[in-house]
Amino acid sequence: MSTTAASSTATLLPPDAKPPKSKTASYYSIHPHWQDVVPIPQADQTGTLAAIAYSARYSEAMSYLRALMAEKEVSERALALTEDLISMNPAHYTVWIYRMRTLRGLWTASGNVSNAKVVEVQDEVTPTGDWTEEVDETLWDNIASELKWLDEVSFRNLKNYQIWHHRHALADLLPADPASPTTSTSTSTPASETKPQLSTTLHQRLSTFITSEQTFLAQILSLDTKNYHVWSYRQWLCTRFPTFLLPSPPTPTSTLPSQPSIAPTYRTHTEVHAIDTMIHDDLRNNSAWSHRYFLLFGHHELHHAQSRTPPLILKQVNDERLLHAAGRVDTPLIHAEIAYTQTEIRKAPQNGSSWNYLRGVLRHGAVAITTLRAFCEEFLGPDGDLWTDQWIDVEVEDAHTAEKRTEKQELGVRSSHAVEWLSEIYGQDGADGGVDRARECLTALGEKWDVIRKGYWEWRVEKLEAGGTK
Amino acid sequence: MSLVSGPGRGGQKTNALPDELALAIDQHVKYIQQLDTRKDELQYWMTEHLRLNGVYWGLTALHLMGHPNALPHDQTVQFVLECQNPDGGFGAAPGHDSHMLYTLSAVQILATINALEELEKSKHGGGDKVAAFVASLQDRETGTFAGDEWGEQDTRFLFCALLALAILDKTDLVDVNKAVAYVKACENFDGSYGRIPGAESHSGQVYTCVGALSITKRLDLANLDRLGAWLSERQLPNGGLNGRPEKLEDVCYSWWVLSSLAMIDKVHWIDKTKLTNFILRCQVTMHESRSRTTLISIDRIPSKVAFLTGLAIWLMYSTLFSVLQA
Repeated sequence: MSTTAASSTATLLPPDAKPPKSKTASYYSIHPHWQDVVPIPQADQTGTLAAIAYSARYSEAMSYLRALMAEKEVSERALALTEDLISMNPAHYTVWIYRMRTLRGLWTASGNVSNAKVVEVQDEVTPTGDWTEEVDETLWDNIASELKWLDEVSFRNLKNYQIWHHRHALADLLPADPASPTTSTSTSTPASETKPQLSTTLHQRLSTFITSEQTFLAQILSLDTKNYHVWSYRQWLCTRFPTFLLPSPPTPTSTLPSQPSIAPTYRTHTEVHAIDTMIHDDLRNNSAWSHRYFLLFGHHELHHAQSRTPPLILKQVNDERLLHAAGRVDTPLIHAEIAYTQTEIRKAPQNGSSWNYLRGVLRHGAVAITTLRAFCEEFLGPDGDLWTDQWIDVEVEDAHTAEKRTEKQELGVRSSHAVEWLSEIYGQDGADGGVDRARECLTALGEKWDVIRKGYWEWRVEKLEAGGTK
Repeated sequence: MSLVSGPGRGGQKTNALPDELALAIDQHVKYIQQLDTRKDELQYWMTEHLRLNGVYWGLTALHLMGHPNALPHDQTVQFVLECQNPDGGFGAAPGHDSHMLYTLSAVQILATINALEELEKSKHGGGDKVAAFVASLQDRETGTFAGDEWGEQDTRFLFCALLALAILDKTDLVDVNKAVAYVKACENFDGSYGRIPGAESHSGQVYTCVGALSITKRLDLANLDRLGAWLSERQLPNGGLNGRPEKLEDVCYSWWVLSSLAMIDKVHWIDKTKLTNFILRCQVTMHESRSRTTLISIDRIPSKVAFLTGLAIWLMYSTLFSVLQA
């Protein structure tokens, strides 16, 4: 084994020396714990396109990582090395992969996780989906400590992809939630009448974990409220731990005819409450609205679609009203959410996110759009005027001086979305000149309220007229 | 309508635009060529994980602007092959693990410069080996694809896989029907698409889902009217397009949305002139400032990836320009 020139001549660092901040200083080559490793430098790429020039310290750390990876070393120092590299370049996905392998290897070797549960990554097919027994205390501590480190990395690297996948992989090591659809499909006894229950201790453990995840998610979303990675992780967490995160977790379709309505209490559920708060803070947060839909309705659709053999697609579930047929639509909840969304729309009538959500709720509940005619007409001008500007001049008389003056009042059309909905509502109401009124709505949209999409509104008029002649 | 209307099309000046709203071809070409000389800068290696993508973006932009030979052919091939691993896939840079995203970029780069046959000289195997790597990432049960051995699934990877295999003429290695069914399962009630079934609609995911349907000639499965309506709603009064409802516009999303509209033949549902001017205005600001930081603030891109995202942006608006002129 040859040693590097640096390690044979330079004075070694004290064993407790931490990686330096400097971009040029040596560290691994002069650290006593690394003297047995022969670093593998980056292959020479002189003259190639896009050759990469690294800082000296980053190059050094990478060359030690290559050496460990070549030997498939699983050790505490490997873990420390990945931490050092991630702090310098968190986007290097190879480093993250090696870190997860190392963690799994260490946790397996320490005996607190059975070999059947944590295996070499290349052999791994599914995570611990059927794991319902008690878990060794050390694993909880290990996962908690890795998450604590990951939290700090996450706050420094909001747009990074790898942090979310790492988090997902860690959470997936935890015991399964018996209510999770992924659990029910992977159990070895599908005919079993009784679903496994979480023990009290396990329930408390998971509950604590979920609460800390919710706290973390609230913090990180406060910095970047519409981050698609965060919301994707949050949605996955809901399906992985439905007992804790879904207000009405899925139940086996064969055993219960229907669940009682959650309408009286759902707003106090922690996850719904968290979304209420986010929408309250920014009612234009489309991600929050989307998550709300998933929490209250979407996961039922998905569960219904995926529990069939072969699985159905979401669109079929809605188009064919399959949840209705199965008695799985919570009608009081639908009406509670329509009322909630109407309140939010009145606060900001031009908010596309809330209108989009309302459309989804109507569709899920198979509620006719025509029932919202009066609501939509609230956003038109006086006497149903479709053309008046939002601000109109109104003559008012001063109560004291009787002097007349002009004031601007918000009396005109306040929502192009309402006008669009009304075009559909009137179009369906063919009796009293509905088609003419619908056409006027579409014309107003193309010529006044949404001129930029004139081409789209013209097509809608054509479609309306084609439908009207049938 | 073709997305790429041929070398030089993007470079045509339209008389309708004032001088300050014209595509500054020379400056863009120079910028891309100089990227390679900036490799001593910190951000260059911080974006190592995007290197192969960056070469693809830069190269495509150069081709669109009518300068297909601005990057050296042989060195480009050499760099691409250095990124290949023994499993047949490609990493972002030499020594990085194989990933779907970079494997597609490698195939695209070689196809663009008519060098796909160079794969057969690679020590890690030819086109068949590359295609086998891509095919190995399909989840045969659900039809979707993972990005790498970690197994993260996303409709982005499904699109990348189908596109790479289509270029290599190897789509028969995967279950195309299942992949198509998976895309269909990701359709939301608004006609748009998310990352997995039930996930929030997002125009980047729309591009990949519609792209997958387009490659497999199954656009008949999309709800074209609702999807087109959702996509056209992305245009804001200043002409730019956003990625999701109630978000701000930027050039990046303008690309995803416009190319999706083009695939479903609904570009006429938005105002093309306003979009063109929006894109060109972003360009003018970039040149006036001559600073990457301004570019970052325009498009709200995290500073770490701005360096190569700059390339992507130029690719995007030059491509957009081609679409809009077609």
